Amino acid sequence: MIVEVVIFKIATFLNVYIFNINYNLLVKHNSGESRRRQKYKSHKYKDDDIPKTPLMMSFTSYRTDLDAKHDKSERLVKLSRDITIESKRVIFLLHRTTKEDKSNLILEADKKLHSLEQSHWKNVALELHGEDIYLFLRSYTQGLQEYVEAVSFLYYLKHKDLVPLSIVKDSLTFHNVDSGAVTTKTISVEVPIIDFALGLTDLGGELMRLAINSIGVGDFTTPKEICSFLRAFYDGLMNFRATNWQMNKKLQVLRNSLSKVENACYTLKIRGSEAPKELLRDLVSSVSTTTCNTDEYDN
Amino acid sequence: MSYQIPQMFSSFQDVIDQEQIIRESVKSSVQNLEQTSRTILALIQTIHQENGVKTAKEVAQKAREMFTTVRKYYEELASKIPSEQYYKYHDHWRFVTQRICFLAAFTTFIQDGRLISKSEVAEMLNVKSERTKDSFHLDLEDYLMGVLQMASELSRFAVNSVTAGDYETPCKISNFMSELDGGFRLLNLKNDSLRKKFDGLKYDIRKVEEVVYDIRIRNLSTKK
Repeated sequence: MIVEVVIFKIATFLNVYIFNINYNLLVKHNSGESRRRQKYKSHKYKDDDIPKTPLMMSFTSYRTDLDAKHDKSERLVKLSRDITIESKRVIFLLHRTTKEDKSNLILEADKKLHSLEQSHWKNVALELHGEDIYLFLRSYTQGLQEYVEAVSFLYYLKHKDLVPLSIVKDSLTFHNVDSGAVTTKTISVEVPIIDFALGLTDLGGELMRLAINSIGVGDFTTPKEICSFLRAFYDGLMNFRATNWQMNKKLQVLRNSLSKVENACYTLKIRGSEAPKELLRDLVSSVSTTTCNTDEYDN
Repeated sequence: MSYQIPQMFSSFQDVIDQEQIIRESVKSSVQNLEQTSRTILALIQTIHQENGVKTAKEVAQKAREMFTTVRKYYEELASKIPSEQYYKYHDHWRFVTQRICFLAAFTTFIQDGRLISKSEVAEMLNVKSERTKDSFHLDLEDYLMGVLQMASELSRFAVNSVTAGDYETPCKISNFMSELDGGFRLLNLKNDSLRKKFDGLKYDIRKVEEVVYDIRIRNLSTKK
């Protein structure tokens, strides 16, 4: 009888002991887990190792679905980043129009944007084919906005007007695509209005730079044109009641750009007749930086 | 000089206004869903009371019957979403869906002692299970979030079962939760809200294991 009790006590003790070890292991396992997970992120479990219970089986299929989604959005983020870089290059290229031959630069920008559409954007369209684009919009909206900025800047230099949404949509629609995986008549990248408008708003900053730079080379008509265009643009956006936080921020930036251009025009009018052209640029930039807060202008 | 700007923005405005109408109507359906989910949740909460533990199965059955209302509202909601725009409005019903997944998973565990699968939840909610471009479906991450919510509710239930004198349920819950943990470990989670929620699972498991430990050390469980 006593022996039985003793054995039982030992058994309970061992049980507790083992339990604690397991418990400690569990806690340790979890705390070190994030690092290990990072390290073996691409590690795929061998499916033979997984116990074949219904729960584990369904989680295996959930993993497949989750991975597919994450991989796709990762690929889109990469494409979007490349598109951003290339679009920024086009914008810089177009800023040279104040100094160099305009038509050549515009041709070059056209060519660059076209090749961007045929390579990166076509891949984006292929990735999005058959998907709900709003699931992945967050992954490619940055690239889209920067691209819209570049396209609208180019369009402004050509036509002195705002690029219509239909033109951007047409450039991002591809016909007779045959990529092995997908063979279809037309695929396109959807351009949601909000994201299009967000891209357009960035145009303000570029036009402001263009206006200031034009003064530097003695071109006094461009700033005036830009000024009236930006005013109309700002008015249009003010009436556009699709405000989200990004839009509000960008509107503030646009407002700053506009007031810089307005101040520049003012300075031109007042001082234009008395100061030599070379001095005017410095004058204009010093006036415009003191009258409005430049810190809010990022990008 | 005249620009295209005013015409352009007024055409944008029309689209945005249309969207706004859809949003308002979606919100009202979601509110109905929230109301129903609160009612079910209130019912489920009675399980934690001392006599509730004994009648858990009946309560779960009652909760399951209330899903007919949930089905009705999901059908209404689905009819409001334009094709291919599920994720445009997803944020509106994300949280309520997670909670309803939790309720579905919890009732199923109480009744059958197993994890409800995603397709079963979708069936209960009267929505599609697979993500396709043009159907109202159950988002996988919402389902998984709901399952994790169930885990923390179960850890609470384990504690309260003991208080009510039920020593078998905590052991069942413990086994179930460790299998669930194994399941979640199969997933490659990103650094998002699901990942954060999953990181909380270990505390729920620890709680249940402590309960089981207390039961075992006092030899209260009749099962060996």
